Amino acid sequence: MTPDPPLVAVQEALRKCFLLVEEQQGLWRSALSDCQPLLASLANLAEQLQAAQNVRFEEVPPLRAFPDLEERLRRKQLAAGDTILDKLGEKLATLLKVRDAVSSQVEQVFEVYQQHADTLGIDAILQPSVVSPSLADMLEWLQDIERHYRRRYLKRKYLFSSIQWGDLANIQALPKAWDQISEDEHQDLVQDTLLNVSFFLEG
Amino acid sequence: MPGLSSSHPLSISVRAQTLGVVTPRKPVLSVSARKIKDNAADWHNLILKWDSLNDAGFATANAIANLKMSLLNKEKIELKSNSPTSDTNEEKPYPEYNKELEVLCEELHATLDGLTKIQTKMEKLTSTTKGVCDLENYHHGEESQRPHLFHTWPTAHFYAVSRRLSDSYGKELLLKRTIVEELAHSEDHDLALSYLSMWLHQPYVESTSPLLLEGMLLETGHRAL
Repeated sequence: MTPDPPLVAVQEALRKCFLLVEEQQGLWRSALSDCQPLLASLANLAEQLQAAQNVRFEEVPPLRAFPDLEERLRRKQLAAGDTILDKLGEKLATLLKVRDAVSSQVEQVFEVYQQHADTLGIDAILQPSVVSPSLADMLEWLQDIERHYRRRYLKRKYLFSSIQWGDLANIQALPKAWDQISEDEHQDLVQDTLLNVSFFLEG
Repeated sequence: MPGLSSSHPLSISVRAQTLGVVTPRKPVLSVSARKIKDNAADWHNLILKWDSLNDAGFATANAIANLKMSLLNKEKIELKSNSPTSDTNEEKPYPEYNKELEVLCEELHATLDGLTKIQTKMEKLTSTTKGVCDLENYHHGEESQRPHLFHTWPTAHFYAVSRRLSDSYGKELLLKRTIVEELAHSEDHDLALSYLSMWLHQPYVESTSPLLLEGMLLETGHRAL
């Protein structure tokens, strides 16, 4: 049987997309793991800020010789915190790039699919083969992945926006809250999907 | 550039170049320029050494604070468990003596000594820079415009930067001395953590210090403009 051009076109688009997802997943994971030490540092800094706030400097005799100490220390601590926040912002920007790259590629796949959907026929769309899941399944998985990145990004962005120096307890709880996001939602969705299409990708 | 006074328009340095006359003063000026340039390099090295000792000191101070806090916790537990009707005749260990703590404190003292030596050298750099300025004043008397040793900085500016840096490190040293004396005796967790934070963040080393140093290195040609 001669290869069916519309089918090949859709399969090629799917392959390209999954390969992109594989690459972007690497970037996503790497950015996330970079965030952990930064959040730990931030939480530590918040602990220091809290401790300094609890100390009554004027009641510590050895520190009376340094009248401007409290303010100077706080300024330095906040400056260190801002540096960390900048770095976290960069990581968040990477996550956004991943989200956008995946969204854009998935959109393209669906455009190709729409172009050929009528000529493909329902069997071709729904039929899996030995080496390939059905087109319908793969399209659905890509939608799931796209939604997955979108939601996870949003959750992390929301958490990041909640950071403010007025709420030190919140900052100290950040590392745990951040990890919770990873645990809550289908941590392995992308990995599992890529496994499912591994034969298809080699084709 | 932060720290530079605003009254150095380009016209002054142009005028300085047109002075051109080779006077007997020239050799003295170039010796001065060499001195200032060497001082800038010395500043850079001293600050690097200071930072390195600061990091090492922080690790030691951190260990002291952790040990102290765990000792305090142990004490609290022991106090709770000791009752008047207890049969055991345990002698309560002297609360503040602990061999490990003593060793760590000695380590921190040694680090403080190292930092003190560095700050003393900083003072020396400042005083030799002052010497160069005084020499220049002697040669130029009342002249307000004099040739710059390098690009745009009047010689007095090198002294101002030097003074500012050594003063700030001097203040920081006083604070560190206090921390070294107090840390192992702090009974309060928040205070101990604050001492650590003070050591780490160095409230008296101004955040402009790296810029001042960079300015000096750029001016003297240690860094490419």
